[in-house]
Amino acid sequence: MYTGKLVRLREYREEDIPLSNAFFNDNEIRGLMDSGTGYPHVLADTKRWVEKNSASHDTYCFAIEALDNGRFIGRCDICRVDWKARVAKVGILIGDKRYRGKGYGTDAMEALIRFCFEQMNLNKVKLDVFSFNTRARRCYEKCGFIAEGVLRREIYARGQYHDNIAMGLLRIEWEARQKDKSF
Amino acid sequence: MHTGKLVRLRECRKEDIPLAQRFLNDSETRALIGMGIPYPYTLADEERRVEKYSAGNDTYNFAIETLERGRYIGRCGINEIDWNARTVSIGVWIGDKKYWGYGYGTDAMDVLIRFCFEQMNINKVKLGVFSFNERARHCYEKCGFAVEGVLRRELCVNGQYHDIIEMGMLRSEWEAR
Repeated sequence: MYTGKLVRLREYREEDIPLSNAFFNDNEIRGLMDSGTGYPHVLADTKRWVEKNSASHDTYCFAIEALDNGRFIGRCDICRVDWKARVAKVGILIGDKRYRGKGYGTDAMEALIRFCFEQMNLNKVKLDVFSFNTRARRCYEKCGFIAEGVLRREIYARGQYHDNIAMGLLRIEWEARQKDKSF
Repeated sequence: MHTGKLVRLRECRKEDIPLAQRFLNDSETRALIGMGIPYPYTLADEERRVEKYSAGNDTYNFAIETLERGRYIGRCGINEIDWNARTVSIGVWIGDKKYWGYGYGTDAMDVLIRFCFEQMNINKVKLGVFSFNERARHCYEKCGFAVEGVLRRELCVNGQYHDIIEMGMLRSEWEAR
């Protein structure tokens, strides 16, 4: 169910905490995913965050594991759900840089999107991407996301204001892509 | 400081609560501002909401009062603040329908925007408007907001999916006006 071609999505484990903390404190990664001050997380911050993950809430966070060697390489999550409008906001991070630019992120995103539509019965999946993160944007476009808006200057990173790109994928668009793939 | 041409923004008061509850439970008004399930608010819901308003928080809610008769007609406020990017998300509603379409909402919005830029030193003010709410959209355009995106089908109201229009105004644009 959670297995793609290169990765599988699995639950977070206690042994992921140190690596997860290191991924999050990497300046390059952090600058791509949150517009805060980038103040480093102590191990206890990450531990608390991992401990909060549970099948009993409305946020779903997955660890991403490479299929070939079982390595924990990043995470992806559903961070906000509107059950009435059937919309969820998702996010992803590949922390292990050796796995960047090789399709691992795209594969994980596809598994996450499938989870949203097939298991959660959603109608739309959305996300935000910082305007300078062209690698991520290309990944989302490959997954079928369409840019719906350019929210000007909503990000402050690297000493400058940047735009935030809002992207979305509707269920009908995703279903049409699945049909195309099967031909 | 908080006074426009038609309205002034003041603190929310206990005596506004019954009227606010009635305004927010009106199904027409609720459909224009609420994304959730429009189950009616009890008086206690509204009391709890207003009790949370305080100068000590990072959200700022104002009661909108008409200048000519001191009547409480609606509310506006700052819902979300990103101090790092200096961006705020704002909202307004006029609950008293006698005051719809006469510029009261626009006037309140102009005062609120001035508060964001001059008192909070913000760089951008943003909001989301439901695609079918043309009156509100017209009001925001008059205030200087530009459409930045159309978030498709992010809203379900009265049995149908609708878009949310994202609008924003930069400090430089506001200063040029």
